[in-house]
Amino acid sequence: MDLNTPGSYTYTDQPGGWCNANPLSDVAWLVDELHANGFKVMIQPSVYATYESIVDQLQLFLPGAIGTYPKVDLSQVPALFNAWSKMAVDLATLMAQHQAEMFLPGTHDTVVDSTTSDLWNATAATMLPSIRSVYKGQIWWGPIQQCGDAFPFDYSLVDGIWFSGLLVSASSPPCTFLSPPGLNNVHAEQMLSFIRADRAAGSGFSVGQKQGLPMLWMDFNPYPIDGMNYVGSHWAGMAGIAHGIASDMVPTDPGLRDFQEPVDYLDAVMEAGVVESSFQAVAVNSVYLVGPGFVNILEQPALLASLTNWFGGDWNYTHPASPTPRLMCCFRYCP
Amino acid sequence: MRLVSLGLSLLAAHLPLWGQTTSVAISGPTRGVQAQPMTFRLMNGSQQLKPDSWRQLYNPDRYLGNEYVSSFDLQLQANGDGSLTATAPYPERYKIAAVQGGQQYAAAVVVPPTTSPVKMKVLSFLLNSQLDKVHAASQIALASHIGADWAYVGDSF
Repeated sequence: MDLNTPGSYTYTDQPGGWCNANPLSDVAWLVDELHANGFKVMIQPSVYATYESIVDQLQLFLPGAIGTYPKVDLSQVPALFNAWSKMAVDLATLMAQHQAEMFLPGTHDTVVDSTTSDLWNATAATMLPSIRSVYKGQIWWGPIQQCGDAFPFDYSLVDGIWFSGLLVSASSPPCTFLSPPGLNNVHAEQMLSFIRADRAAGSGFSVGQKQGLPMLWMDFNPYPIDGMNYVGSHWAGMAGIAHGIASDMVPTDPGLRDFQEPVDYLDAVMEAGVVESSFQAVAVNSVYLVGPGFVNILEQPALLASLTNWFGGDWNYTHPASPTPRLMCCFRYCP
Repeated sequence: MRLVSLGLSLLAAHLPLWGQTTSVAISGPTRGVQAQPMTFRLMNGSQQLKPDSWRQLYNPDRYLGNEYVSSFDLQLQANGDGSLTATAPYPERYKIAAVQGGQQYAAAVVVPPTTSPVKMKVLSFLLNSQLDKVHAASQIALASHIGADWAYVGDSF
């Protein structure tokens, strides 16, 4: 969405020169391909915007949003939300045609000013029924942060809630993201204790129970990086500052890799979040569809084996120590 | 209780593994049940040996290998006849070792969840640049073996 011309905000399906987003036809193909491989599918759209030569997620340009980006004028926010709403309904129509089972429109974690959040809630109150008129699958809403809602929302409009585990630390006190920093040499037993403390202290963990809705733990990033248990997906920035990791594709210091830490982190989160709590699942990031990357879970054999154990998958296919580890051929660092 | 050693654990950490190349090996289950005791014996053929110690093995911090080993602690109890009783508190893959005569012998046991606690087995699929459908299809096919039944499609993690 180009925000440089007030009064004419519209979303554009086909990416332009400034935007690397995927066309909706690619998303439709992906839904069909996932169905063909036995998956049910949930879709969460994102909208990128360009404003004053900056390109990033749309919500970061809203009045009151954190960060130094320029913000659109409050008078333009209704038009911006209307454009978002049209995108969401159009995508829901496409998802209905391709029978996607769940749709996660909107974004709820960006702290904005109260007028903007009121406008967003008003938009959701009309957008969600519009989506339901064209789409019969489940509609979930989020993300809820561990330490509470960014702003109130009418959860009677939706079927479930997704929770962001992005800032859940497995080695530092609750709700103190990166201050103090966590521990690098931490084991599953210790991680479990910290995550239990997070769960006890963070009001976001219990929103599902309070609203009577199922809840899904998302934004869970078991990356093979020393210290990822407390920096999460912010490692590219935060860990980069702390450890000098400059790129997610070309590590500057291979010694900072750690294939054990994501296994312990996954096991501790599964235990604390799913076994001991009421989460439906932990959605594990990510299978890369666009090329290789060391954070691709298909390139992390130990993590893959752990996940297969939790999910009851084909152990002989994924575990490196199995008599017939057929997946090994895709691990780029194996013979 | 990070180190659940039963004597000579520091020495054992630096001993070679012999389990696969001699007739001496640990006999016991390769799959276990959560919270159910499992018994392991160090055997030389049909003869049970009495090892100097038993211990749990962990991957080190900053581990770069491929092996799936949990760092959750097994509950270990050495028995009078030289066998080991181990109980797994959580569903994982654990490694144990017996040390005897300066040699270390290792074995692993997988403990799957009794019933999967995960109601929605979700994998995320990252889509944030131009899609190569051939590559994407191969990745999806590989991922289908993990056991997930839901796919989340989004971008920008």
